[in-house]
Amino acid sequence: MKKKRTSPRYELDWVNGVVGNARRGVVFMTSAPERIVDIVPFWGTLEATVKRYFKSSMDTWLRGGNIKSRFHGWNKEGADDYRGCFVFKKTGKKFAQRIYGFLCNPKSEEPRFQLCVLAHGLKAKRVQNTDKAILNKLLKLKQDCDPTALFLRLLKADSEGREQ
Amino acid sequence: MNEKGMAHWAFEDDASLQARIASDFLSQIEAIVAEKDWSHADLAKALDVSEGRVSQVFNNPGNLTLRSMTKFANAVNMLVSVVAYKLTDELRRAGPVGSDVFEACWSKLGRPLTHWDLEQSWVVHRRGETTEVTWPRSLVCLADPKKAEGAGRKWDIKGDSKFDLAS
Repeated sequence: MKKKRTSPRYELDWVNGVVGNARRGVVFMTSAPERIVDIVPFWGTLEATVKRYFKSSMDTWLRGGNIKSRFHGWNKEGADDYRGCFVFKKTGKKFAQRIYGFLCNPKSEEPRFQLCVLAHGLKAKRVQNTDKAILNKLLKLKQDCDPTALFLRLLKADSEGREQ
Repeated sequence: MNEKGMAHWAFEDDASLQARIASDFLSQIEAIVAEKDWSHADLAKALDVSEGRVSQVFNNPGNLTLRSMTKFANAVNMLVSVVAYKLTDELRRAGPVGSDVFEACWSKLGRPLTHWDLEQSWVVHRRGETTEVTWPRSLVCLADPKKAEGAGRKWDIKGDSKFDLAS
């Protein structure tokens, strides 16, 4: 009998201890039943010092800082196809660890609010440029998952959690 | 997990707080290095250390000493000030103030060197067509002593302003 294919269910969750503000937020994405996004298991494999490095970079982005060697989007001329994709990276001697995601504006009442949804982690050779297939995957994910609805669900779960 | 209720990650333990403070400092150095279009090798040369040592510090900044910090800053023609400020409940939730934010505040106030310079500085914010000026107390007293209580308030000036002192 042919196995029935169910459409994936996506969820967002806060990055532990990384606190957003009125202008920006950062979240991890999970998917079920399939592991379409792998950021949470990837994050679990990172050493404490690497996690702190990434969290520091997230803090810098959250407060409006700009350090291209640590995080960037694809806003340059000629990269229009990948506008909205985003990466946090840590470059070591031989390898670079990268966390990919996309940016969105999920608050209709506060359209300037920017959310960075992180979905994919990768450890690769230092010199290796980003594989465009990853960026294409992120853009498709952004289109498929309805990040606004997912964020509203997260906020709702938050407020329900506070009431209990 | 609940974002509103959670404490900032930097307050999890001493190592986290040290990593965050050192990382903030190094992010300022990284920004200058990028501005100069320097590589880690260029920075290593300016510091008179190996490139490996520079990478080691950037990748694991938690063990940075004050001595190393002054050396790194000096290599890119910067100075270091260690700032202590009150830890409030708000900061416990939001995390430490970035050193780049402190530096931006100081620049916005006209880079005062003394408390007296600070008294004479004013803050100018541009928001669209409106320029918002926070007047220094001394200037308001000179113009009209009756308005002295207006010092520190934000006054809006429409259109082009003669008070472009933000840089």
